[in-house]
Amino acid sequence: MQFWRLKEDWLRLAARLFGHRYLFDCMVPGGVAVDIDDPGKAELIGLSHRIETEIRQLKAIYDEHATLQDRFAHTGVCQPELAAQLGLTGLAGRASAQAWDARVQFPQEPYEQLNVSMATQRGGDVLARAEVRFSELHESLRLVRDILLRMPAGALHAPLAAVSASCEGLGWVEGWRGEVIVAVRIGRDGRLDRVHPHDPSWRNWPLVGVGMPGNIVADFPLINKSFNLSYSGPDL
Amino acid sequence: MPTPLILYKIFKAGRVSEAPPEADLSLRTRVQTLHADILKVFGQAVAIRHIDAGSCNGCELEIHALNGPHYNLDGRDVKFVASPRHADLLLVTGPLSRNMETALKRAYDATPEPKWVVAMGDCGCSGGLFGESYATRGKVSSVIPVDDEVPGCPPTPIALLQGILAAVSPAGGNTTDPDAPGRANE
Repeated sequence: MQFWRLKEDWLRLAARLFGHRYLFDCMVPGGVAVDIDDPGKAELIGLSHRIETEIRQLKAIYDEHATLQDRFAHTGVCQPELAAQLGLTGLAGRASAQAWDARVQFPQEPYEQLNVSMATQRGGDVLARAEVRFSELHESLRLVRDILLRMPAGALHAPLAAVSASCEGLGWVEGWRGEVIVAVRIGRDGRLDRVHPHDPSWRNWPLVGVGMPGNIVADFPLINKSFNLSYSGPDL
Repeated sequence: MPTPLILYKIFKAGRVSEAPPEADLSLRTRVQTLHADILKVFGQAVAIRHIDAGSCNGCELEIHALNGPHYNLDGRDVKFVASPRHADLLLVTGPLSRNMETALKRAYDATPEPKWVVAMGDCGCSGGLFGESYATRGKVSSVIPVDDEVPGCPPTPIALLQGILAAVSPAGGNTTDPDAPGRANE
């Protein structure tokens, strides 16, 4: 409930500043659709500091909660060797020593200037995934502040040249579940010819089958949610 | 000893729950005549079974958000249940992928009468971005009867709650009946 409260505060600020709680339609071909002014930046930075302080308090509560630690430790284990064979991605992979993060190994502007710190664990259990998640919360909030402070002035988006010949492109970001890759092919008439969105869930779902055996039934939701996968992702 | 830290945090955070919104009757697509009788007995307490029929998870994020402390669902006697057999209301998201069509019909048949259906999101209301295709059937009402349609991509938690309350409001509205048992906690 405490984390839900913090998340709702963040979503409401996003809705007020950018017009959408999840920033849908804020990115457009060639740039972004919405600008942010100095008071807006100050609000975002202020809220990120408050959330970070509260997360530290909640982490202290979590660290002292022996029964919760007991339930998380050695539950839903995926060993690093198996994780490498399955090609796990995102936070589930990083909790099993798969040190891959698109912002670190394949950075695009502005990530190459931000010196992103990758969080990893070797345990591969629910506990390790929770630890990676906590570390990433702090790093993400730092990144938000850094990006806001170094944001350049200038046009919001660049004009796009019309496409005259068939062409292809690949885009990627490190999403909350792992790397999201979208491949696009544009036909001669300037319309989309082929689009393939590649969701991290597609790669990570086999992990649930690996992580489950040997655990008690009551731990199924715990393990399942610790991977945080999308049902719809594999259908794409 | 963990107790003081967690108690301090709960005390410090205080109550963030907000007053619930009024039902938005404009979201209604049909009115069931059973409403008045049911509501007299059960108030607006409602058990919801959520069905993801090919959603992108955007609507699911807002369903999760609705369960947060700001919206005080328990205080409204609204709760999510794990089976359609326990539900009064089906909350359906997604452009209704053909893989989910049979499952949705079965879930609808398994829900005891009287029942309501709320279609959530642009996809559930009209097929949205995906429309009707080889993979999707489009709007939810093309397969099962729908009482309320809550548009948005995704609808905000407030809009969703307004839609749910509209489904379980008496035919003419009146969501503020002080005698209804569902309001007893306020």
